[in-house]
Amino acid sequence: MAYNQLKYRKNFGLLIAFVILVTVLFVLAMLFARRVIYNFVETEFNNRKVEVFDQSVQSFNEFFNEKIPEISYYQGFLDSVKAAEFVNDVIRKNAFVEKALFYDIEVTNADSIESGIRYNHLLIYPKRVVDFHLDRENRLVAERKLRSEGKEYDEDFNSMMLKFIAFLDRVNDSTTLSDNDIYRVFYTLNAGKVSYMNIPRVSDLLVYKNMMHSSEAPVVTYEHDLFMFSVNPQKIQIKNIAPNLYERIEVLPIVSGSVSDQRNYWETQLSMPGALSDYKLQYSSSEGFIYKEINRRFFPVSVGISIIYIILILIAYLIYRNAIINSKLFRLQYDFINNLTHEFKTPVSVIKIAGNNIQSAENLSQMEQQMYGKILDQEADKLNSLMNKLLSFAQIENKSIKPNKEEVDVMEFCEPIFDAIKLKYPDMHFTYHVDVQNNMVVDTTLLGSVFQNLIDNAYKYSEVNKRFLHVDVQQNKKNFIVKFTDRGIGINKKEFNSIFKKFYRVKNQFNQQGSIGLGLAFCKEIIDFMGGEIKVDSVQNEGTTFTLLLPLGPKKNKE
Amino acid sequence: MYRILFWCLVVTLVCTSVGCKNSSSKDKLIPIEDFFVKPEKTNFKISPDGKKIAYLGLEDHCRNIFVLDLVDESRSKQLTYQSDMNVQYFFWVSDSMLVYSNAHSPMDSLRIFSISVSTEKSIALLPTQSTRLRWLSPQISYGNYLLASLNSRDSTVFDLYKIYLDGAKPELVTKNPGNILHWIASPDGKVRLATTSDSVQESILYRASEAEAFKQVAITDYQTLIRPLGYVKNSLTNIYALSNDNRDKLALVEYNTTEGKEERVVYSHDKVDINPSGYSPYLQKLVYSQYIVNNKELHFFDADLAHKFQRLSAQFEKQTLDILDTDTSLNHWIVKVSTDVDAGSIYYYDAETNHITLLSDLNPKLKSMALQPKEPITFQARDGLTLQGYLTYPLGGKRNGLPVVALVHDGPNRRESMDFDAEAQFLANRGYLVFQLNYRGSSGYGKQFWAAGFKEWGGKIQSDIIDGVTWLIHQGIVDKNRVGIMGAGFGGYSALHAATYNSSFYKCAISMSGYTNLFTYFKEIPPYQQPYVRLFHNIIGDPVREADMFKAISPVFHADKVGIPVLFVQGGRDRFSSLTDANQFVQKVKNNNTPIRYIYREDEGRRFRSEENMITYYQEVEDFLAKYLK
Repeated sequence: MAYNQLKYRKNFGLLIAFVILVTVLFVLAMLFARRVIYNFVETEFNNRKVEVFDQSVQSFNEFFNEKIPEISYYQGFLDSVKAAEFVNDVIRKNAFVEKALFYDIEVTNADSIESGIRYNHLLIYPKRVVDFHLDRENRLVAERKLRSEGKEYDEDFNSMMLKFIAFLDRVNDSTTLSDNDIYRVFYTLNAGKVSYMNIPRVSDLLVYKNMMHSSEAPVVTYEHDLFMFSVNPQKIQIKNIAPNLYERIEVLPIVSGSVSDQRNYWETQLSMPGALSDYKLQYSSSEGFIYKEINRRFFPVSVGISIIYIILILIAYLIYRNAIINSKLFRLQYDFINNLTHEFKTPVSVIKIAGNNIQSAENLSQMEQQMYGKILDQEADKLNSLMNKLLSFAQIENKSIKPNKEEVDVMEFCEPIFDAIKLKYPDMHFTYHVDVQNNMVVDTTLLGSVFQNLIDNAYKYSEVNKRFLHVDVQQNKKNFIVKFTDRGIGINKKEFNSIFKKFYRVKNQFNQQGSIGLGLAFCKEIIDFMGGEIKVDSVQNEGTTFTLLLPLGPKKNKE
Repeated sequence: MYRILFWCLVVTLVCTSVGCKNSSSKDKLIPIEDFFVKPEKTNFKISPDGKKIAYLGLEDHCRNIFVLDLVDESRSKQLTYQSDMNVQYFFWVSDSMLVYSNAHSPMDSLRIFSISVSTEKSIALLPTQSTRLRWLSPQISYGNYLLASLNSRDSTVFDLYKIYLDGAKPELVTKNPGNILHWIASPDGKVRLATTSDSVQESILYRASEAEAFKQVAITDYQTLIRPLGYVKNSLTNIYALSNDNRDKLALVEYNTTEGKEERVVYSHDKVDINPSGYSPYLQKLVYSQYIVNNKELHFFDADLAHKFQRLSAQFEKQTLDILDTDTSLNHWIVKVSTDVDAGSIYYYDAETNHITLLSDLNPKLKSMALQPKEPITFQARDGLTLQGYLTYPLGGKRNGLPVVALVHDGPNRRESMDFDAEAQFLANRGYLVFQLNYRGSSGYGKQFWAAGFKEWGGKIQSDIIDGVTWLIHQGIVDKNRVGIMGAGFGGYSALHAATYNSSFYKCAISMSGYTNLFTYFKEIPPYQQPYVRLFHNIIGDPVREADMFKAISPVFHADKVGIPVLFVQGGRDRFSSLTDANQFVQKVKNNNTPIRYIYREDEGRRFRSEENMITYYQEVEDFLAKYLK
């Protein structure tokens, strides 16, 4: 029989493969996760710029979509004082509005000589041009511009009015002002400039048209308001709502190229809307900044992956430990069978020799007959006790027997055992002390065998000249405390837990044969079975104390 | 036992269902379209000899003239046959001839014709042109011509012309020096009297003959009105006029035009203005005077006529009678009989025979329906001014804890009275108490009351409405959590004003062509109408000098404050509001997450005319109120 086949097969290769696989997967997952996050951040870097953009130009849009149309509400009735109020409100709320020009326009068919735009009979001219801006002390300054002051005021005015007149030409009874008309005629958006003229009612437009074409129309004057706001996009307040993505956001002229060609900068841009269109929003972040963000996002993911990895590794370790324990157990069982075989072999071989001797002897003397009889009897007893031990252990372990409990006086229980000890081991110095008030309720047979076992051990594991044993029986409020104290070889502390295990044997010279590693395990099973507890305390080469805690029985009857 | 119980149950069920049926037939919801029926026959006018009645009826979907012969019924006929034009108006110029005008659309060119009843021959009195014509009152012929003013020379001034009935070229009588607003014809066909106005001042001009120049005889301020009705019999100097010069209410006076002096007060009422009616140009006689306290009431100057009227009104007990037209003998009348719960009917009354003939029901569909009567109320505004209003209780008879709709009239230069009001009836039928108020600035209560509304568009006028509703709340009539406001034009402005500034008081607001922006409103007064511009400076304010006030009371500037649901209705042709303003207002309210329902009809004006749009509007009103006021 090959020895190998009997060995417990531990395939650590599989386990190692598993660990390697998991580790490889872990590394791959980490790399992949990082890659994904990198891409995600990259996409976000390119996408969230729109949000920043929206937030940043919101104030401009509010100004453009809500504040400017308010001019129309006044229907041309604004004068320079009211205009100043309006501009004051606008210019202080919106830092990007640097200057506002207010043209108080008259639309008339009078033959006045004012310079302006004349088309047929219609004359449109700015009655007054006022320049509003904030000075250094943040006060609103209104400067009236004179006609002579440069062409710059005329240019914007003229281009706006030409548009208006061209539109007037198209107006007829069925005209309705579409949003498109309004945007094209009454707004003018140039780089850095927003011009807006109040939108007249369609009926006014018809009147103007009539004034334009008819020389007989009564002389009238209508008023209009035209505002030209100078806008500085660089004063737009940038609201960086993704400060972890964009390190720097600037408003730059649309023509400005990338300042540096360094590769370690991420950049993206968006051009500004409408009147701000010659500027763009430039977003840039250094690679280090981006990596910080990537790592920040990567951290929780990596922690997650690591936890999964650790769990898998833990499972691998548990499998490993299980294999080790099983292999130990297997070895213990193997040893047990070996010992048991040996244990059985000795009496069997003695019986066999005795049998042979009897068979081969031609006649047996009285002495020989008695001797062989005694040997056979003894060896049979040995076998019997061995088998009883095995059997009862198995029974107790499987809980297939019931304890046969009875109430006994402690002294009555102990004395026969101790007397037998004195007879059995006359070379052992044996003392005992019993001090109890209660009776115990136990299975005397089982408890007797525990006592026997512990006493046998004390005898067996002591040097020949150090065979001492003291048994001390006491009681506290809850339990009997039975202590077996010897001066034997002692037990290593490391083995305290193992000695109560099945098939475990302490390896030493006293233990070469005749032990199957069941004694203490048997004791523990019985004590547990009876609801007690067994403990060991030992110092190597000085002695061992086994302590039994057993439940108290009823009080002794004191006669 | 169970059988008896079962039968009891059956009997109870039957009783309740019958009971329900009874009450439902009484409190029936009337379909919207039944309230707003347009009468098919209108403009009943009796010929001077009292033998024919002409009216406008529908034929081929167009308004045409029909003639009813009172003597020989078989000779009644349709006079004009037009299938693409509506007759705008007509009047009798003789016993057998009518003058009428027709048009494709309200802004169409001017077309004036005369037509003979017997021959049906129609003559164009003027070449078709895009000028405007104002007939001189009274609209009677002086031999072969009529008097009218035309703005053909200059669109802003109206010159005096003779319009010949035979179609000859109109003859210019007097050129308008520029400021004359009205010409008043003397009984001999000459014009000796004219009024001018720069609106802050009005003046009366007189000339003894057409050869002379006018000279100013009297000046009044813009709050004072002297309104000529007609000449005193056999006089070329004295006229009957309505005047509130040196008094608060308009009174009927005899006025000397040569001196510009009031001769005597003919008739006056201590509470209200006298209405401009009751003068007969044929007889040159004041027949009666009319005034409205709650209902139209008549005062006769002729005992015989008063007797005839008594005899007539005995046949229509507790109903309001209104004389629409009479012949020259004053024996043949056209009368409108109506109540607050009846849109009314037009009757022909022959005073000689005391015979009444029904000509037309103004709203036949509502004739058999149970409508809710109006009740006048009087209360004091917070500053002690006494205000008059009307309540129309809702269907069902409940009189406390009601949801109220403050129905604000347009104007403000108008007034509510006890007459039939389809809109109020509709709302009452749908379960709302309708509150109509003659707030300060309403007309008819004298000039002081009128002037009290000046520059108070966004001020005391609005607080009057609140005071009225508060008074109703204190009376226990109104549930203070269910107050709605609704109106058209100025009423719509009030609704928007309420939504903007008094969101906590009102629950919802309905604006039909309400003014979102008073700057825009002001713009509608053309600058060449300087008189009106200055009048409106007084009534509303000066948009340049008082721009702050304009801004403060124009809802479009404060649309973000609107805190209650708004039904916002706008016609594309409404000249007092611009679409741009309306859109801005609606957008701003929407941005505020306040529910706003916006109905825009491009082809409609200040009030919806097309039946389809009108029904849609009232359907929306019904749904809107059901959602937010129930």
